[in-house]
Amino acid sequence: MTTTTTGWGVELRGVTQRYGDVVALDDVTLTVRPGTITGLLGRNGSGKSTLGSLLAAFRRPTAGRVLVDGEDPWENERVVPGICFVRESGDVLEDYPLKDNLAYVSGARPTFSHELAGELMDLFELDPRRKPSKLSRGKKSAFGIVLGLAARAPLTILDEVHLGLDAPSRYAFYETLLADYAEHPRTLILSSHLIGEIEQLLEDVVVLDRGRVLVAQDAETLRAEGLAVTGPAPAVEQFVAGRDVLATQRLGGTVRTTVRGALVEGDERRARDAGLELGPVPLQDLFVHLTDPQRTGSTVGPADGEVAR
Amino acid sequence: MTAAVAPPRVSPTAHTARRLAVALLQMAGWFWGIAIVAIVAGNVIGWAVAGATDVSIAIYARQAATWFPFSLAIMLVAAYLRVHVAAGMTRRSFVRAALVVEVGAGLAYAAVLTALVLAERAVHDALGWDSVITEVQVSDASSPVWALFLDQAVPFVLGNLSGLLVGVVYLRGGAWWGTLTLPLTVGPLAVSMYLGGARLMELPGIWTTASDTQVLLLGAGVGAVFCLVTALVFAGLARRAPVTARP
Repeated sequence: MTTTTTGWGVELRGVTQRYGDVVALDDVTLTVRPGTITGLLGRNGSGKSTLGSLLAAFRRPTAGRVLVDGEDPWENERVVPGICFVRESGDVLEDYPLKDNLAYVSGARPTFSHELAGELMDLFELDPRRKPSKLSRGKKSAFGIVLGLAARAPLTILDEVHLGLDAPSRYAFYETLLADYAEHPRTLILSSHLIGEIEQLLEDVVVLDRGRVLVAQDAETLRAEGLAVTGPAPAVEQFVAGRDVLATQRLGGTVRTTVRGALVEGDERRARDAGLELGPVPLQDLFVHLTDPQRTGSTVGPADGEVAR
Repeated sequence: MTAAVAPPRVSPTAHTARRLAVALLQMAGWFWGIAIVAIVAGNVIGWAVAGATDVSIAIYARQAATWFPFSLAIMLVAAYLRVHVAAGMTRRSFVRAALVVEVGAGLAYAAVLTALVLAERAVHDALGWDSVITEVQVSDASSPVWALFLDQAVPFVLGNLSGLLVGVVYLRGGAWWGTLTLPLTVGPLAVSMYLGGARLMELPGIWTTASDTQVLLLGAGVGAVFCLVTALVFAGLARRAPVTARP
């Protein structure tokens, strides 16, 4: 019997998804590396859930091609058992106990781990006799996490699965995810608004904005590209001239400007001479600046959605 | 990189069929439990009021045994298709499982109702009562068992398939389309159920001159065609159904 030893890669080629007049995804071309944890970030309505739905064959794109492990997942009996898409709305049998739900899902998932499911049920204090319809928002989310992680699917997409979870439970989730990922490598796509909490987990980052890929990059490079420049206004303005300025905050005569682009030789010396402080920009701040609707000329990142490394 | 995934131990169709069958069996237990109590009560009341119950009370369960599973089939599509696909199975396997289970359920309901009618008839015979069938159908108290069974089986199976179709049309088209297309999705069931009524009312048609057996077989043939078309349309719609988020 074969088991999963690595994850599945994902490719989207010119994918467009429309809902009537609304364009949820607009000509998206994107690659997700197999065996990585990729953060799928974006504001509400940016197309993250639609992207997950397409990968999981929940729907067909209006145009373009979706490939998971090299094949179109739509009604693909080889591929779909290996794709697990857990969304916050929950796709479970609401009026049947959790144990029945686990039995139903585990029977359909060749890589399902009953052992891990049991550990997670205990961790989140879920009673197998309870019905999902009777659970609190946080407990429902926890059960989604149980299904998503215990499936050990080669492509696992977790879309806002920690809504309503308290902080200890969220951190328990992150720890378990990392530990199980280390033992059973697979492709994980994490969508979350809690960027500050998940950014340390991420190897690659995809930022969607109004249905288009704004950034598709490995997380380390992206973080390194963000730079906060703080100091007297004239010195900061001079330093950032010609750079991709994401945002500027003023406090009296002091300015903090966030720029995108790696430091070049001599930057640190020039900053020191001008009395400026250079610092990293948290991924969350970078994300906020990149997706700021007030920002003009926001075409950044590799145009074809390939993850740059 | 390609990573192999072993196929599940049980085929997705068999896995889902078992799950759906368990769900329908639970509901059937409640349904027939209540039906038997109602049948016994009806007979007792008839005896208490008139001294004898000379009609079949059990056969009145025919309407309920058509429309209750019909409504369950609608809910089955609404509740299970989304969960089935989310669990990593294809719509194709859901369609196969749903069709197998619903056809089986229709036949099982027909068998149970036939058995109840026969059991009730045996009791009536023992008490010296008659067992006239007043329900609108072709077979009567003198018809052979196979005729009584066939008379129930066709609308029951068609009712279940119609329920699946109604469910998927509502799922895909929403409330407006689901409601507007009801004449198409439920119409064949109504025709099938009331074919016997056309004969009783002597409406012009082949049923006025044909024998009981001929009318029954004609009804079964028409019903089979309706079943086939209903199943094909259901399969076509379900296999292209997007899985939307639960509201």
